[in-house]
Amino acid sequence: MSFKVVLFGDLRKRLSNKKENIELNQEEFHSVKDVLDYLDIEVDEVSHIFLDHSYSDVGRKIESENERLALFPKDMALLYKWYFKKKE
Amino acid sequence: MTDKLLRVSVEKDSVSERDLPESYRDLGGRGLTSMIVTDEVPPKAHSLGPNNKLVLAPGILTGTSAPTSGRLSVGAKSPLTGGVKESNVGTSFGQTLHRLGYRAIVFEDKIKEKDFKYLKIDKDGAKLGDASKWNDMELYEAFEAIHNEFGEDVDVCGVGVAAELGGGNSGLAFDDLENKPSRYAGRGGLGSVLATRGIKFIIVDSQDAPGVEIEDEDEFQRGKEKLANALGEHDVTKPGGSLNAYGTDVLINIINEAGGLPHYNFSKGASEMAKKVSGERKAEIIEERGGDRPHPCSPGCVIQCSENWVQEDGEKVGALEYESVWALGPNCGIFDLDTIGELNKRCNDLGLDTIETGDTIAVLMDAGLLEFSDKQGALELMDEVEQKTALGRIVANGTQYAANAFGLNRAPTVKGQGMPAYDPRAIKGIGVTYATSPMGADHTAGYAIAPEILKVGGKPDPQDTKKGELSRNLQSSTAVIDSTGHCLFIAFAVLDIPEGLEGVVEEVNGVLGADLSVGDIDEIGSTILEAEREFNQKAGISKQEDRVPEFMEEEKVPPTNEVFDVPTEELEKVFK
Repeated sequence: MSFKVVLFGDLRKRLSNKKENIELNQEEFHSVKDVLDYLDIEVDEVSHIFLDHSYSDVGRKIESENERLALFPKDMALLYKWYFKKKE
Repeated sequence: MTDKLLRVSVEKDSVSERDLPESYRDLGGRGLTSMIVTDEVPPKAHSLGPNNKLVLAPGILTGTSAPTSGRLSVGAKSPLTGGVKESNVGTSFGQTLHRLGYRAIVFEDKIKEKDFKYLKIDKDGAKLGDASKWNDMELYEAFEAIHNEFGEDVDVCGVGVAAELGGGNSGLAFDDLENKPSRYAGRGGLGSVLATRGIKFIIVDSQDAPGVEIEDEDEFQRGKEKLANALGEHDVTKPGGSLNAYGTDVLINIINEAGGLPHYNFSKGASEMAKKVSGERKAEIIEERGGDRPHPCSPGCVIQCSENWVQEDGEKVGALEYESVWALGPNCGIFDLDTIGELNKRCNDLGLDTIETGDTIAVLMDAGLLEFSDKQGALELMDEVEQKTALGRIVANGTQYAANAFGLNRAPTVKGQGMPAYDPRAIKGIGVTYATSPMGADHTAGYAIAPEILKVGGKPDPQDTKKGELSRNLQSSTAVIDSTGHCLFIAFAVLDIPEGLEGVVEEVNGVLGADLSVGDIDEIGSTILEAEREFNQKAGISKQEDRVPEFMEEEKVPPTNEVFDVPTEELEKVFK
């Protein structure tokens, strides 16, 4: 099963040809952190993480039903973080 | 120079100045507008009747060299909510007003005849003039004509057709830096309060203005430097940060991924289409067409999150902000920035609030008057307002009015005011603020300083779904920021860099010669909120109205499939 990783802002520079997203095989990634490692993105480069539109922690496990992971860089930390329940 | 309070009555052909009362000395912006309104307007007064008053007040720091401090507050009893209202705008107008020595202008008395005047203020004082020559002009044309007559350097405020109609969906337009009417105190229908006081335009001239007095220059400079450093260091507010690079519309992609970007009259919270109207896409178009981005809303802003949108024909028409893009775009099923830009310009021309207008169009689409995504139909609704037809009057009166007129229960409003661009089912914390703010559904009412920085209410647990106390603290600190004249976006920096907040307090102490501390912020904010809530209660707005609409408690919003399930007792705790 594949899932889509969507990058925003300067994080897109990590993908070739100015692509906005990449399809990855879910079975090869245990957690969001594994995806960051694969894309060579440090944890402290990322602000908001949404797994299937749910505000998530970097340690959150990627399940077979997950379809979309969105990653925003530090300078896009515009959400008022206390308003969200972060899933771990 | 003494700080002045100006009272204007067109009905009595009177303009009078006096010293600002001592009890108002430490107030500015929202603090001052709300205190004057709650002191002087009978809570049961009709908002368009003779006893309502409209107050303009620059923030305490507005007009000084404090960074990002160009905000002006407009207050009155709102035709939309029936309660006290403060609507806030970033514009050089407020800076000029304060530099001329005016801490507030109070417009009073309803005119008996529709004989509109303008008010001109300069270093020699204020006087009324006949505005009839601009009566038949929409606001872009009128602002140009006023600048042609009074000079390019004056600042202008105006109200449009929507205000003449007495609409709850009418704002006050202010100059942007290109002298176009694209900066708005849009919320709450306050444009119609000014129009019923007999004023269509206000012109302020900064030539030889004495400037804002600063009691303790050293303290002020110390504070200013701390805040400037915080804004310059923080990832979100620094030059080249996302607000600077993409503008407020950068929120489209973020809120869409959070599942909280309302689409099709709050029927879903995300789509693949949203990226077509994102800040990133808008910045690309502006660059391709030679527009201006980044761009400040007022001189001295270091964040510069605004822009000058360019139409396909090359004409620059002013700001096109996140809330406007969302309201006139995804919320109506429209994903075309040129159509959204045209709708935004029509709102500016007619004196309509873009958020309320987008909500209203979406409600009319939901009710079946036109289809979602019908761009031409949406633009034709603007023509209805211009022509003052019955349907146009419905649009000019806003979301709840339109829903009532067409028998639709899905009105996304609180206390009669249309919701901004965050679905409270996906973002429950902001839903608590929508529900409980004295201002009605207002995203800016609780978007400020972290409670642990203020050292009130303990450290919030992100996992805790109980948001009541958090919302109260945020509303309180927001009321204070709105009183300083700083833009709320400084909150991103002062959230994370405590010296930034210290700097704000030192700036205020420097201007006023006061001795406030960070710990005083909550008490000042609470005083403002208590006065606003007491006024609303006397006006007949009970705590039972501190709720989001019923359909949001029952109807799941995809893709999060959440309902608004914050318990009633939690909402009631906010101001207990």
